[in-house]
Amino acid sequence: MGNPPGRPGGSFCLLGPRHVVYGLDYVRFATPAPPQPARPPRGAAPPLMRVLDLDLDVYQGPFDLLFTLILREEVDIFEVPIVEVILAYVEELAATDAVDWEALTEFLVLISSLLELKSRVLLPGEEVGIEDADAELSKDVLLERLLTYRRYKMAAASLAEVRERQRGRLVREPARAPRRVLAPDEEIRGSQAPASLTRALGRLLESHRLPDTSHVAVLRIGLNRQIAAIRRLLRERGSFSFEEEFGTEEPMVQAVSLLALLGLVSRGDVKVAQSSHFGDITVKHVDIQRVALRGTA
Amino acid sequence: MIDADPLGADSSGPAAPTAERAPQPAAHLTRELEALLFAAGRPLDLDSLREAASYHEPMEKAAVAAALEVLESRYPVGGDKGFELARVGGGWLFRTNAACELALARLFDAGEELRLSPAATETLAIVAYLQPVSRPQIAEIRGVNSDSALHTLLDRDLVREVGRRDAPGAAVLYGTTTRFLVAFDLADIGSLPPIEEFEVGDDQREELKRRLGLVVAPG
Repeated sequence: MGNPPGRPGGSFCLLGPRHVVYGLDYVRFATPAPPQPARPPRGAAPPLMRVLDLDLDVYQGPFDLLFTLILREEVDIFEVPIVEVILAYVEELAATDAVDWEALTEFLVLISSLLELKSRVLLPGEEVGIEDADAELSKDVLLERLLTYRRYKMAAASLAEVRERQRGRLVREPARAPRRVLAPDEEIRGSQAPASLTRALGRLLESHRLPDTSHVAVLRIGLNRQIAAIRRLLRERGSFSFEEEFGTEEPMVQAVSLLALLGLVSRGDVKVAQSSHFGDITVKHVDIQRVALRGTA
Repeated sequence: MIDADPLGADSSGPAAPTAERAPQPAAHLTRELEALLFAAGRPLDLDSLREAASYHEPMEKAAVAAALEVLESRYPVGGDKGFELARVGGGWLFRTNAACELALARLFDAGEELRLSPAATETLAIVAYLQPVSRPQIAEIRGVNSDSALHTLLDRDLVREVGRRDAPGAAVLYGTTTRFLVAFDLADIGSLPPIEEFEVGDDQREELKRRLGLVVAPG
């Protein structure tokens, strides 16, 4: 899977290659992220504003972003301006013609994860001094997940470093496909007890056996078939009780029969009568005389 | 099989004399192993080499090991030859000398096909250390879906399916390949640096705790 143009290997693409400053000089999305001095001395920047350089292209997930925010930018999780990030993204989205759905999805995942993390940390903050076991637990869990993620990120960096040193180490392709050598006869013979072979074959055959479906009743039912059945009953008897004829059938047969009956009613072929709700239905032929005549003929 | 072989762990320097050193291997055996390794293009382990050399009668393991030792000193890693005999991927493998990188890169794609995105490298690290590991486990650690990264690794034959979890859902489990070991210069998977080496420092851990509100900040 190649990356779409403009998204060189990154997981999160907020902006294109442009360097844009958004919203109150608070969040700035930049590519590439410039090396950040530890922290501007207090008082050097306007006291109410801080510029946060974020290049979402380089973050590999919410933990990565959060870790960087906390440790590199020294932002408390309380300070992460998620609404600014979202607004900037929406503006950018409005300005582009084509929507990169994959990037959009990844952005949603990133932001919703951040929101979840932040809300977990923010919520118990109100109750100073009151131990909220669940909240503390989830913060602990968050810390552990951050640390676990960080561990593998560092391991990945080490792998990438090793790989870089391997660039000059090329290996020839195999001269020929390897010969497939069968194990010598004497090694195969007697290597397994016959009983274990029987068991193995048994398992193999068992796994290929079709599942037993005998307990599943096969229903052969159709609307036309039930219409024909009702017509036949009416032809033979002139009228019948639905409960008597279909009451002992499978629910599916009853349902289809009822549909067939309703179809016949709507055509005006039969008359139905029901004395009470959910009571028995009496079915009669509309032209009972003709049936009677046909019966005597 | 590497653990069982009588050679020392250091394959780069000249082999140190050992008490139970095998007698000087026959020249034809050394020559044959050289030919096998030259033709192989993938790591060959001691058993495969011994099997191939045993065309008349079963060859002694020690004899094969001794012949390999001769070859290792003939083609030392980082020596003055254009190629070297390295112990990687559970066996021995001829590869070019890293010192020749610039010249090689003028004519060949010097391993460019193994360039990996950060996402793929992270996923690879997780598979390497936690194998056998499932997709949900990888996503859990990275905090994002890693299917696309995993596909890249499967395509490049760095990762493969190694089985299914014996639990409801029977999630597919992934592990690394011989190609991974070769690409990252590892004799076997146990040669990876211990994961504990990548723990964050105590000061960073404390800082994280503080910023998450797990401890009350001083002042």
